Order: sequence, then structure tokens, then C-alpha cells
Amino acid sequence: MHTLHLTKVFAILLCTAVVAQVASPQAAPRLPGELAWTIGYDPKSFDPAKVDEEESEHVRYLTAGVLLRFNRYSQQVETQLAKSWSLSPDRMTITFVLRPGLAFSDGSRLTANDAAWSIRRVLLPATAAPVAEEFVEPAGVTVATPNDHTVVVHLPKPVVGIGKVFDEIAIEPAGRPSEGRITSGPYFVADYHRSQYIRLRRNEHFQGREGDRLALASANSIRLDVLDNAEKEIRLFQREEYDVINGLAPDYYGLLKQKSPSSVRDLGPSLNTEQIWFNQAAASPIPAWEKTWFQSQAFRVAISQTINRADLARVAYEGHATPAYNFISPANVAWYNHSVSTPHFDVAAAKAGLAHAGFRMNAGHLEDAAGHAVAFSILTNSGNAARMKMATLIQQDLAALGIRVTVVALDFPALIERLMHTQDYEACLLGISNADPDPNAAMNLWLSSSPNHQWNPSEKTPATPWEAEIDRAMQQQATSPTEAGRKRAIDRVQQIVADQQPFIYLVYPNALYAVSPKLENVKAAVLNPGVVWNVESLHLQGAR
Amino acid sequence: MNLLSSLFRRLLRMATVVLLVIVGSIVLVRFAPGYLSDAREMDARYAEGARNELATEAARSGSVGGMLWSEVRGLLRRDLGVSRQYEVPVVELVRPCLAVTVGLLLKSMMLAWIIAGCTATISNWGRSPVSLPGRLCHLTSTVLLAVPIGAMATMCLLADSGGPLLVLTTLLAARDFKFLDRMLRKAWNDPHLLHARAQGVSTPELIRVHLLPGIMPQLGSLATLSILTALGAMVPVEVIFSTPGIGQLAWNAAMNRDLPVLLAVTVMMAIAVTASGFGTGSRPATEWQTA
Repeated sequence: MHTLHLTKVFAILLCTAVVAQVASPQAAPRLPGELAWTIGYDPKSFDPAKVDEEESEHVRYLTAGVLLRFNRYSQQVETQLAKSWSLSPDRMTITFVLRPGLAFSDGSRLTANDAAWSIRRVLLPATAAPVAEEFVEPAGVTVATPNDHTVVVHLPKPVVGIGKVFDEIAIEPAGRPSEGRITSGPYFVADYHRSQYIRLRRNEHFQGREGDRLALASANSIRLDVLDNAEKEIRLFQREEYDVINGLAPDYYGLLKQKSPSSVRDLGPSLNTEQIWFNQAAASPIPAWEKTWFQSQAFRVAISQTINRADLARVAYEGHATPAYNFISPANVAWYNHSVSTPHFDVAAAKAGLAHAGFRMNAGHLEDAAGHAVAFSILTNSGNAARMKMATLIQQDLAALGIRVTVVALDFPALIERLMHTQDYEACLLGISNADPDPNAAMNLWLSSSPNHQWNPSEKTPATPWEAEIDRAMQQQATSPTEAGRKRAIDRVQQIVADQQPFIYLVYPNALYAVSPKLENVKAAVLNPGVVWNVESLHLQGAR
Repeated sequence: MNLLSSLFRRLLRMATVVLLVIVGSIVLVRFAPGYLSDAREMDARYAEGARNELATEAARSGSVGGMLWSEVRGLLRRDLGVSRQYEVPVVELVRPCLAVTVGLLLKSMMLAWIIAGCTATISNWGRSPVSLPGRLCHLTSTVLLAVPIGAMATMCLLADSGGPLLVLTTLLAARDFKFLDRMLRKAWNDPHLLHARAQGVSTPELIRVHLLPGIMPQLGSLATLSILTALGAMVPVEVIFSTPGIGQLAWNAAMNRDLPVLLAVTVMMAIAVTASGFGTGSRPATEWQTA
């Protein structure tokens, strides 16, 4: 009986010990003075020339040394590895003079030869570097090195915003591409555990813009955890496992603000837009009468006038968004046109416009001139709470016009198939992330011949006169020799888009960040990579 | 000879299951909406590259028969192909994830068995057939089994306490307890054990000589059930906790229509499930009388 009792006690103790062991939360290791934040998925490549998605771009930003850096805060092009640069009057020759004493992270010397090799490499068709397209005719570009510290790039034709293109060209050791292991930037890839984390180490040989050694200011290392789970990210941020959350969701903003008001930042409207558009493609498999509605300017304007954007910003984004009427955000100071006249919230005007276009009400439902009840579905991607809320609010707004709207959420691959391949949809609610404030970067969106011309992709010739006018204005801004000429052309595009409403802009989501109060030298920017754009200056309090 | 033919039959069954899994996966993924689409198509900067890759994939996946042949040939050469999403060999993706998942499963199964064994022992030691500790253990395990695994994981995440190990262990322990308790209760009251206990045989000897040999085949079946339960719970648990294991890899592969990765994972799962049944039923049950 005594043995039985002892066994029972032992069983209870063992059981308790096991439960205690498994119930203890797990924390990731963190080196002293290390900065840490998350990326959503594994970068596809660490080769800076082959970057073709956001997370690879993020790692490239942190590791690449470039001749010119586009300052995300001032939105101006600045020198980095180059001491100076100049553009010839014909805008076809760029001359870079390198800083003296440049070196790669392995200590080897960085010369004009390395810079020329890196530029030539991205231009080679075999490299398939996406940045090559920005040179318009990459095959005709030549690169010369008259001496050890000068690089001369000749373009076959002028390229708008050419300085910014060099922000994407990492200077690597000639003939030794290393996938981020040997870099000329502030950090280099030291350790990578797939699906877990990437550890970047400080490049002791990197010189800041003022030529200072980096070691004085920056963190010794950065850990980028691969984590696509906002809930867990917030928990770990609160436990000080992470120092930064880029692109904080609005609902988590309030949560964090309650617990630590000094850790959250709302920078106001970002460059990103959320919009709804109708399928106007002639080849789409939707009924002909629906195409007629969607191709009608009056119909689109009426829809735009009926959507209460202030409500969308207040409800779907908990106030952390700004009503949008234009494809350029007010955050884009250089290009935003304040004098564009746009259709604002006015349900009575919308009803009048629809009546004028031949629509009429019948037993509470809107019908077109042929008696078809106006009803359509709005596609959006599943898993985005703000978009689902917006779609629901739009559904309610449009009910005031007698329009029946169905909201359909699909996973991203299925949604893209509908948009880009089968064109089997009526309306779509999505967002556009604008990484570049220069509207030239959105050329593919506006040219009627482009597959990314969402409302009517790949038109052989512009389907409407206003699309032809947008084409002309976009070409004009791409070739105009002066910034004023470019601005005039873009202003014109803004006005046409406001008049025609091919995209009905809804909100500019605000740029929301969470930053550890212990992080010093933070100057958050609306442009990616947000808080960490000046990574070489960031460090934790007392970690130096 | 019997053993060889039994082994051959089992291997044949495993090969058939794997082949069916390959066919099923290919058909399901190839005809899933969005197979020939890429999120980068929406990004003007990267759309061109994405379209080129899609054109290559469209040419490669023109016929299901061709895809099937290519995958089977690859598997026979131990080549799992290249991930569509990451453009790296699938083996490179699977290896680190496999280490994480196997570690998690082994740990959780071991801990679950310890907990289930202990609780079953506690539950069975009272003199009355339904003692208070027994009732409590049963109530707890019933409640735990009634909670969906995803809900349990989400609760842990929201409470900022515990992790995948806790959730998997809890689930397995609750399930194992139900079976172990019943098994022990029945075995403990078997006439030969009652007789041995009445004769004053010591507890360790009672367990080693009289109890364990009798319940060994059932324990083998329970181990198989544990593996199957753990494999089933693996995907939601790993996804909710963002554990970099096979479950999360499979989920991401499904979300991104990454057929080579999905195929590799499903084949591995099929092999694990069929192989887990190898241990049971291949050996004649030991009758308690022989103990």
C-alpha cells in the first residue's frame, strides 16, 4: 500500500513538472544591443540585382551601398558612396566621383571598377534585374571608368528621375557577387535561418554620408524575424523583443496606444491608396448591359459621390486614414495637385446624375433604361479587415441609390486570376502601394496599352478619348526636359482621373508605426522602409 | 515468409497511397483558382518578371499527365523540384522545417504520454471504480477534447502564454488519457491481476510482468493514433503560432499555389501516416494469459 501511495505522489509530481515545462512561453534569442523587427516572409533572393519583391528589397536597403540614396524623409536624392555626381545638360551623361577610402565589408578596397561592374551587371539581360527597365533602353547604356574614383554612365536617351534609379543599384565587389555577404552598405548578411530569421552584422568599413565611420552610431546587428502574424508581433513588441513595427494595423494602433502612448506614431496619409474600380474591359465575360453602366462616366461619378469616405476612414481605419479623391496623396508634396476639382460626397447630385443618364428607380431599386436592375459584386481579398469593412460600408452607401451590392472576398491568387487573366469580375476594391513618389513609377498603371491598366488592360488603342489624353500626358511627363513641364502633365492626368473616375479613390491609409521608446535617432518617414530608413543612425539607449 | 509478404503488402499499400496523394495534389492545386497568377503581377515594378515566370509555368503545366510523370520521375530520382514561390530546391525549404516539426512532435508526444500515463495512473488508483481524481481527470480531458485545436492555440496566443508545444501536448494528453485510462481500468480489474494483487505481488512487478505485456498491442495502436492526431493538429498549430515547421510551410505553399512544395509535404505526410501503421497489427497480440 505504501508503494502504491509513493507511485501516486510521483505521478502527480511528474505530471505537474511536465505541464509547467510546456506552459512556459518561448522567447527568441537576442544579442546585446541588437535591433530586431519582422519581415512577413523569406526574401526570395539576397542578390541585390535580382530583387523582385518587398522583403528582398527591405534587406537590400539595409545592406546595399549605393552611389546615390533617395532620402525617404526629405524625398531628395543624396550621395552615398559617391562624393558628388553631375548630369550633363543633354541629360544623357551621368558622372559620379567616389568618396576616397571606400571599402567593402570584408575590408577589400572599393573602386570605380567595382561600381562600373555592378552597374553593367544589372543592365545585362542575363541578370534579369527589374531595375534595368528603368533605364528605358538598358542595352544602349555604356559605363566607363576614366580613373579609379570616377564612373561615367552614358544613356542612349534621357531618363526621368535617373538619380533615383541608382538608389536600387548595389555596388558589389567586381566579379564576386556574394548575395549580401560582402557589401558596401551599412550592414551585411551574417546569418540566415530560413523561415526563422536573418541576422545582419554591421559593416565596420561603411562610411556614412558625412564620411563618418558607422561604428560610432549604429547597432551592432539587426535581426529580422520571419513572422506573418500581427498578433504575435504585437505581443513580442510589448515584451521588448522587437523595436519597430512597420505598417501597424489601425486596430492594433489603439491597443498599443492605450498601453504605451509614446510607442506609436501616426504620420498622417501615406502614399498608398485604397480604391474601387469597375471592369470596363470589352472582352470581359460580364453581361453587355453591365459593361454599359461601368463605361458610363455618369454612373462612375454617381457611385463616387455616394461613397462617404469620411465614414470609411473613421470606421474601417479607426480614424487612421484620410479620405482620398486623387491618385496622388497629399503626402507626396512635390506632385499633389491641390486645385483638382473632384466629385465629393453628395447623394442628391448622384441621384440627379443617374436620372440624367437614363437610370430610374423602380420599387426601391435602381434600373437602367432597359429595365435591368442595377446590382453588382465587389471583389476584394480575404484577410484584410479594413477592406472588408470598407466594402460593407460601400454596400450600405449604395443601397441609398437603390443599388444592390454583394461583397466577395477571395484569396489573393484567385483574386488576381480574376483581375488579370479571366477578367471575370464587376468591381474590385484593392489598394496600391506606392513605393516611389515620382508618378513616372506608375506609368504602367495609366498607359492604356499596359496589362496593369486595371479597368481595361492591354488596350490595342485607347478605348476612349480621355484615355488617349492620359497616354499623351504620361508620355509628355516622361520626356519633358523640365520639372515644371512634367508637373503640368501630371496635373492634367490628375484632373482627367478626377473627372472620369476610372479608379474611385477611397482613402489614403495613414502611415502607422510602433517604435520602442528605447530606440534613439528615430525620424520616421512615410516611404518604405519607414522607421528604419536611417538605419545607420538608429541604436538602442545605452547600447553603444 | 509470412512476415516478408506482409511487409511487401504494406509497402505496396504505401506506394499506392503515395501515388494517389500525388495525383490528388496535382489535380487539386493545378485546377485551384489562381494557379497561374502571381501577386507581383499587380506591382508595376515586378509585373514583367512575374509574367515571364508564369508563362514558363503555363508551358510546364499544360497537361496533368505530363505533370504527374514529371513529379513521379523527380521523386524516383529523389529530386523534389524547385519551389515556385522561393525559386530554391524544395529540399532546402523542407529540411529545416522538418527538423522543427519532428522536434515539436516528438517532444509533445513524449510529454503527452507522460502526462496521460500519470493521470491514468492517478485515475485508476482509487478503490472505488469512479474515484474523485478519476472524475476530475475525465472531466478535464473531455473539456480539452471539446475545444477545437485552433481555438486552443488562439487562446494561448491571446493570453500570451504557452506555445505550440503546450497546445499539442494538451491535445495529445487528453486523447491518450481517454484510451489509457480505459485500457488500464480494464486490465487492472482483470482476474489474473486481481489474483496477483491479492497474493501481494509488488507494484513494479505487477506492472512489468502482468500488466504491460497484456496491453502492449493496444499501446502500439495508441501510439499510431497519437502520431495521426499530432499530424492533423500540426498545420493549424504551426500557422497560428508562426512556427517555422512543415505545417506552416504547407499552409504557405497552399496559399501561394506552390505545387512542388505542397506535393513534397503531402507525400511526406502520406508516408508518415502509412508508416505509423506499420508498428501495429504486424505482430501477433500478446495474450495476457502468456504473461
